[in-house]
Amino acid sequence: MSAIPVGYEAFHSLRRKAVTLICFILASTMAIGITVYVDSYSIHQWDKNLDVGSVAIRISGTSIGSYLTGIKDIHGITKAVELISGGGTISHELNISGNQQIISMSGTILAPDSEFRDAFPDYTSLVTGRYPNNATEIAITEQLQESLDVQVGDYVGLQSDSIIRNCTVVGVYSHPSDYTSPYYWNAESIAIVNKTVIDTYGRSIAIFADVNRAKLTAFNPTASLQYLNKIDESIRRLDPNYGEAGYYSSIRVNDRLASAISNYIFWVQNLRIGEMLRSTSVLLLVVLVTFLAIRYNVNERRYEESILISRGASQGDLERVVTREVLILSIISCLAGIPLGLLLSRVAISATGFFTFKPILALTEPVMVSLESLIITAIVSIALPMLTLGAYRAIYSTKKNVDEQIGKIAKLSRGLGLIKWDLLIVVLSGLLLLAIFSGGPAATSDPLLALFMPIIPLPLFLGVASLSMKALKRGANFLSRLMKKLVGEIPSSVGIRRIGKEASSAGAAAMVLVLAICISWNSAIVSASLPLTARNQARLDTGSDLTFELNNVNYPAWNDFINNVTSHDMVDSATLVSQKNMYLSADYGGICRFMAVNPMEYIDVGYDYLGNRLNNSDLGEMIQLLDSTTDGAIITKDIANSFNLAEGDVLRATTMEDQETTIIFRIIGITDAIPELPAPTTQYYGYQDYYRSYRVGSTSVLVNREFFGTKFDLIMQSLNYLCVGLEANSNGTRVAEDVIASGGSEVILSNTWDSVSSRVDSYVNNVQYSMERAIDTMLTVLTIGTIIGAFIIYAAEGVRSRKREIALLRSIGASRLLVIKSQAAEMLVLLLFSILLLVGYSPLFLTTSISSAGTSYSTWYRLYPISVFPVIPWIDIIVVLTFFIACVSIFILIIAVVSSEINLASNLNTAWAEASPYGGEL
Amino acid sequence: MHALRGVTLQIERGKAIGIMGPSGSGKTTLLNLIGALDRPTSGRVVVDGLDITDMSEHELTQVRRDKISYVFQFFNLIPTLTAYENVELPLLIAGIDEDIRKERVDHLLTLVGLSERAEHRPDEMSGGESQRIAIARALAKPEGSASSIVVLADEPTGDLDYNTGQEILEILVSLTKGEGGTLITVTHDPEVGEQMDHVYKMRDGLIENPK
Repeated sequence: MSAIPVGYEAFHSLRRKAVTLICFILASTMAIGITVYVDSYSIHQWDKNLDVGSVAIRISGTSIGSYLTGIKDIHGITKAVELISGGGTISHELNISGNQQIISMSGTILAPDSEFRDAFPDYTSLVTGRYPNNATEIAITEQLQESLDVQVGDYVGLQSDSIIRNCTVVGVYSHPSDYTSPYYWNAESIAIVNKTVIDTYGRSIAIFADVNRAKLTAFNPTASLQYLNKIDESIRRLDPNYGEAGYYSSIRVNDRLASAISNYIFWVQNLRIGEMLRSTSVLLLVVLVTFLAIRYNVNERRYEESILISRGASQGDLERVVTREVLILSIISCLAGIPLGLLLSRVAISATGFFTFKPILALTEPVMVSLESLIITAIVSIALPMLTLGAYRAIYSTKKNVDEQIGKIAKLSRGLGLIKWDLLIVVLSGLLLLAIFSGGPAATSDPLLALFMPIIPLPLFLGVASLSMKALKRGANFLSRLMKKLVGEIPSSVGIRRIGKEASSAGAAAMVLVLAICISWNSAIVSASLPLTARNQARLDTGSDLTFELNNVNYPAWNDFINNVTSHDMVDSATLVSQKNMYLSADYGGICRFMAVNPMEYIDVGYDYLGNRLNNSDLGEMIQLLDSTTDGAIITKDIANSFNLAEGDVLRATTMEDQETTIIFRIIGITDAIPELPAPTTQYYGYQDYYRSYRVGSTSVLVNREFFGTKFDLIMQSLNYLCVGLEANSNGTRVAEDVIASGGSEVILSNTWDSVSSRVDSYVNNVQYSMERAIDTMLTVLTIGTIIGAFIIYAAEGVRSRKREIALLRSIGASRLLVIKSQAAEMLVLLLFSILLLVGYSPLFLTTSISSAGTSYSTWYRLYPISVFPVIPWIDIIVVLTFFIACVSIFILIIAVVSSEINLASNLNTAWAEASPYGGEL
Repeated sequence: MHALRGVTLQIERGKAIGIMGPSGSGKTTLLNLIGALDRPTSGRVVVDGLDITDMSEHELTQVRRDKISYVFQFFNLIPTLTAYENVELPLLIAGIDEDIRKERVDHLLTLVGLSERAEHRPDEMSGGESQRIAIARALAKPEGSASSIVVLADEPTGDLDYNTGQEILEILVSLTKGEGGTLITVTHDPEVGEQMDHVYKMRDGLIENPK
């Protein structure tokens, strides 16, 4: 029989429960905040994915027409109709440049009957005219109308069933083209005819069906998918042989909606997991606060437990009481966390960047809480406190109290014993970080190491913080002496020394503060650094602000094109650049990119790998030399290392083509990377090892175009580009669009052009990028909660002894101001300690997390010489620091003032005030 | 409900007075009123000629600092401070110079026989030692002598064994009277009462044996 009645704990110690609950709520709020934000944001993705048009399922297979009735009878199918189609060729005679030519186009021809049109009126949209009524009429697609240049009423030739018919065009239609969903079949047909026209032997029948879409909900995508899968399976089972002796069904089901939902589930789960992983640091914060809450909860019960044990309760009974209370509080926190998380997610929804908001979005954007989110929240809210309670018990069950030994060696041994694990963690994490950083971009960009990168600073932080906490405990007296002049005798001796108390959460509160500031700083720095990184890397990729690949077939038009480009008011200058692959060795292994430039023109247009304009970089000096040394070559370091080359050496390159050309260059410079040009569309780059990463700007040689032109016909034997330098802050995409709109597309090869601004725009408008900035904003708001939680615990911890001390000070004549000063001094020291820890730890944390932030967006197989260009937004950094310090200071003041308001008599005379002041707490 | 009902009590300076009575009789409430920890709903409290009944909080703080000391059953020492620092605390609050402070604290620690334990913390001392430190702290007043102070002791031996209790009581009485102070002790223990100049008995908020 339990010695503790069930429900005993229900209304006991409201303060203890409130403090614990507040801390637990942080965990559930974080979980629901992230997942609901992802859910709410993903509604757009859900809508986009499910926009598959009016046909949900296309069913085909042998004798599929015979299954139509069976399909219609399947539960969930709302409509199912046949569509007959077949192959055909449509031709029309055109007058091209004075010559009569017959233009033909082959493709699928549809023969929808009235039932199909009634069922799926939007499957095709009539643009003009009508659909055919007999075998001599035809409706064609808009594309075909454009290609054949025909109008309604014209005749076209239709070849089908081995017969060529003359048909009158009675209508022009389109398949809906505004569907951006990848599941929509674009350009599925070229014409619609009467079914009698379709080739009897070549005709195919498919059944188009739709389902009851009201059953599909983003709230529970898995159930929605199961619903569709069940329908698909029911269709397959109409084949009587299905499943017999291992046969597959002869009925093929192409369910667009199911594919769309599968893709959505994969996308959203990937996003949730990714964002949770990105939030490891904040999760650690929340775990820390949860741990503190559990520790506080257990300590607060110690006196009560002692009484209960003395009255016959077993330790097991008491542990069950604590477990039950923690469980109940975690369930309450789960429920309370849902509305709070919803509110928090609105912060993210309204964020358009890191701490840049568009408040109206909080009201206009949809809200969704999916079943998965609720499950994840329930798991996090309940499992986290329970696991932390288990960890707490595991840690403190191994805690041993031994008699203090006073010998010097004994003291040293005891001291080392106290810090050995911390030291081990610090040393191991430090070495691992050192190893990763010394590995350079190849190590930091490694996908496996990238997984560890954001996590490694955390054990290092825990180790350093634990050491600091121990130092703080041992050094409280020293600190008290140090601060005496600043804060006064009483505040320093009574207030500051409280920090050194065995049970003090002071160190942990400082850890939370430091980590919270680091995380917020990190978010601010990443937010400022990534766009700059994208810009500088795009400059290396693009070779200039805006680059066009030129089509040598239209070489005569190049001059006009160049004039057109340079006369644009956003264009500063432009230069032609040629590129050709050559070989530095006798075999095909030594392939190398040769980039030929007009040095004094390109120097004003191109950029180096640091993102600097060439006329303002070290590479620029080499390029100037290239102007005077026409047979000179600037090579990349990897070539120099591979072929053991140095400045002044001769570089021999061959084409290995039918008419092999060998060119000898003089090496005038060696650099880390040479700008690249937009990916060539026509040239084979030789063997590429797709399993190894590629270093952008490497294996390249920069040469003088004038000299290069004496060896080749640059127009016909190399790729040619127009590199354009733009005026400051100009939009390259707009320039390109303007140029293309004025006929530039004839000169631009396969529409290959690239601009720095388009890359940066696409980078910062990327869904993942936007979501991460929004989540960073939301988590920064949450970290304020964790700080408040940690400091509440610190303030509430030993509140009885704190009150007793205050009462005692008041009873011996201390003024209220002096008491407030004592309380404030204690927390001021804690704040200063946090700042000290911050100064030491933040550079390490930021270096690591920013490096990993840089790699998270780049592909692992494309390595840039500089993986991230860190920008420190000092104003944001100071604002964040000031904000957190202001928060803590206000908190300190409130606690100091509130705790000085006490009843002297009750606090000095109560028996429990002394019974468990410091003894027994862990 | 009134804890005290019409108590009239006048205590002479330099006397040691005991207050005895069963639990709930109003002893501690009486002590709290004299010690300016509580305010009476009616009636007046006068300490050393000063009417403290309607004093402001600021004035009460001064009275507590200059004229009143407490010795509690559970010592109420500040655990993070050493014995020396605990005794020094009232003098620090009063803003006494360091040299005078040191002289006074050393003197008091010698009086209670704990000079050797000056650097020890409360958790390193026995109950008796802790209570002796509490007595030394009670006698540490800015004026340098206890002639104008009232030491209020609430069950000062309640948490100690018999022998230690006797020892503490002796120190408390002798030092307080020796320093010229006034001692008011609340106790259940008849033997404590025997060492007092006069013992008042309380029941149901009333003094049964007024002088």
